[in-house]
Amino acid sequence: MNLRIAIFLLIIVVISPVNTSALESEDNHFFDIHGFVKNETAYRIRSTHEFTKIKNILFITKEGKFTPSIGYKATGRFYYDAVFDLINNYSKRVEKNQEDEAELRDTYFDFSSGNFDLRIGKQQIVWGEAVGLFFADVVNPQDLREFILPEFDQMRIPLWSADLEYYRDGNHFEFVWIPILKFHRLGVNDSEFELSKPTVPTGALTYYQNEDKPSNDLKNGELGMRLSRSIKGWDLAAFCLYGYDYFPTYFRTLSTDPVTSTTIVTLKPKYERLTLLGATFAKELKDVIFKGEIIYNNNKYFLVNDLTDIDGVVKKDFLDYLIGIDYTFFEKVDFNFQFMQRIIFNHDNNMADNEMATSFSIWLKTGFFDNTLEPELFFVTSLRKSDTMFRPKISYKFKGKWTAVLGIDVFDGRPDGTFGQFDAKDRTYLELRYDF
Amino acid sequence: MKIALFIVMLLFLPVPCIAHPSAEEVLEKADEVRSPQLDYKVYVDVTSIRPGKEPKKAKYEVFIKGKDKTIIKTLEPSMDRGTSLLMIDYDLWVFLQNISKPLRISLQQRLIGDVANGDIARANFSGDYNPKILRIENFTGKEYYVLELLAKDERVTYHRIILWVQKDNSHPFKAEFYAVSGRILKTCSYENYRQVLGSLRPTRLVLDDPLVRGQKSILEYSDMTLTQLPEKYFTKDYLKKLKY
Repeated sequence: MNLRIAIFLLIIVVISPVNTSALESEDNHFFDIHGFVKNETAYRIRSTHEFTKIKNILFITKEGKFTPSIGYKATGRFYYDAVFDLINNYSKRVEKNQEDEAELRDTYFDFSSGNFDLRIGKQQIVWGEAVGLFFADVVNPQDLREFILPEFDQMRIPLWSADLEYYRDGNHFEFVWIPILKFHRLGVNDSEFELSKPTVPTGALTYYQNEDKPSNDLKNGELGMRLSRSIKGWDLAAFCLYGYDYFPTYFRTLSTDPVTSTTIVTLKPKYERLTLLGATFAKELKDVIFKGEIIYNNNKYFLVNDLTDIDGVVKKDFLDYLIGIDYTFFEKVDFNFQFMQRIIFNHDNNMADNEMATSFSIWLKTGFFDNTLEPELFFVTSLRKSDTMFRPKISYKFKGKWTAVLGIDVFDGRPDGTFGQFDAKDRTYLELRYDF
Repeated sequence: MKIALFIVMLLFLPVPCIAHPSAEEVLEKADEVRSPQLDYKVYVDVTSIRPGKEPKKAKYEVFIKGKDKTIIKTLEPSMDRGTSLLMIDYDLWVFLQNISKPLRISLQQRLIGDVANGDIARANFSGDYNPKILRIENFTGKEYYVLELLAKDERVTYHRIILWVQKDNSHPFKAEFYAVSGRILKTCSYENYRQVLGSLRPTRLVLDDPLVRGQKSILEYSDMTLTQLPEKYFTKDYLKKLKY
């Protein structure tokens, strides 16, 4: 289905007329299609050493204007991961889920009238100020089959939606309607970055039922609103989103096999409503950028460890906040530090999550040889329990179109940690990209 | 008696005016030569030359509204295409395709290649600097005002500028840019004057690094066009809507 839509759209955009206006480049010509081809090869360096990815990607995009007030963008992404044919590491289920894909990415129409703008179509709606992590970036679900390691614009799942914006006197109002639902895309069983599932009693039989997803009717849609303004150098924004928890909630039922007396745990993944209220800020002061995000989540289901609990989950409110700074040392080394905390209100002792989770991240990047060679590292760790991700990499840009990246992704920590669950999945990788 | 009356009349005749324009007027006229004081867009081709290395080329489309609002779209090289920069006063935001959201950045970050953000983003000195006429110099048969420009705000790209402006037509001729420490950072010559939007304007700026012989950046301006640029374009939330 996606492939057919992608091909159809490509035909549309290639034959589309070009009508330039104020902010559109006049070098946007008839066959002016841009994008990249990329190879991503990854090799696991913990536990069993083997190739985990030999992914070849074609990403193409075309944008322009039909009239001065109607614009468009069409984007397609195609990939084939040769690891499944060249090296037989994974199950058929994983192969079927991750070997190849043709996907329509950001593809929409832009309408503009005075101070109003409307974008309708498949799109990414990105809020927030954080670096290297999703925080107030809450609107789009993510493709987590490779955890949070890919580029964020490639990870976000574009949503069929309408985004109405209004600009007035320095204020920016945004109203979002998402009628067609999508949720996080998770790695299937036995995949490299399969997220951990709820723990079950030793010796119990576990059955996973099919996911229970809300249907795509009007009452199930998502609605969002955001107001932003810059006041005396302060970028301020407040938002609310009546949406969903994009992770499934595993509702549990317990039973006993009458013959063997074995405990049977049945887990039913369901997607539940979630209402988020948030605010963000950014401010430059003496060459230091201060930024922050705070998000209040209403009525999220959390897992409980108590086997006597009727469904294995409990509904709580929680708060996420982040405070960060950016600074460039010696006009050469870009630095970011972020402090993050999650607080669960009315916490119960039997909950799987701690009442408070505190972590911080550091990002550093510099450049040599006219910034053609750029070492970079990202480090994030929990303060209360062993749970760390360390991502050093080095990029080399050449001939204006080529980028080669060599990097390592290292995870460390307890199996129940966000990063520790992938402790045995440390990898090194090489990427080669050609932009056109 | 007639002679005495003639002498008295001579005394009360207006004296021919030889007063110079103020430094502010000289600078404003020089700014008008560099850029029309209206909303406009222009393409800027930047060639960075390093001794012994292949020249690096980049192309930007620049939208300027008034003296303090600029959008820079990166068109080339391909790997940077889609990177947009918004500058309002001294506040700066960047939109990177792989992040897909506007990020607040400081003026220190070098995001548009080998030239400083301000070299492309700012086409007016008068908003950012307090001018003073140091002297008038004569060379190659022409007279030049030599202006000293001191930064009004420490966040501007250069702390001090010495600017030579041709006296008879207000054409900027050359400039020297200094850091707070007094160290010279670069020199600039304004070249290739052409008829653009009704006036002779420099279409090539050559920025030389005096500390590294042969190292320079050449900024070439083309297709300068007056255009209506609504206020909403110059907001960080609009960066995602820029078409490439």
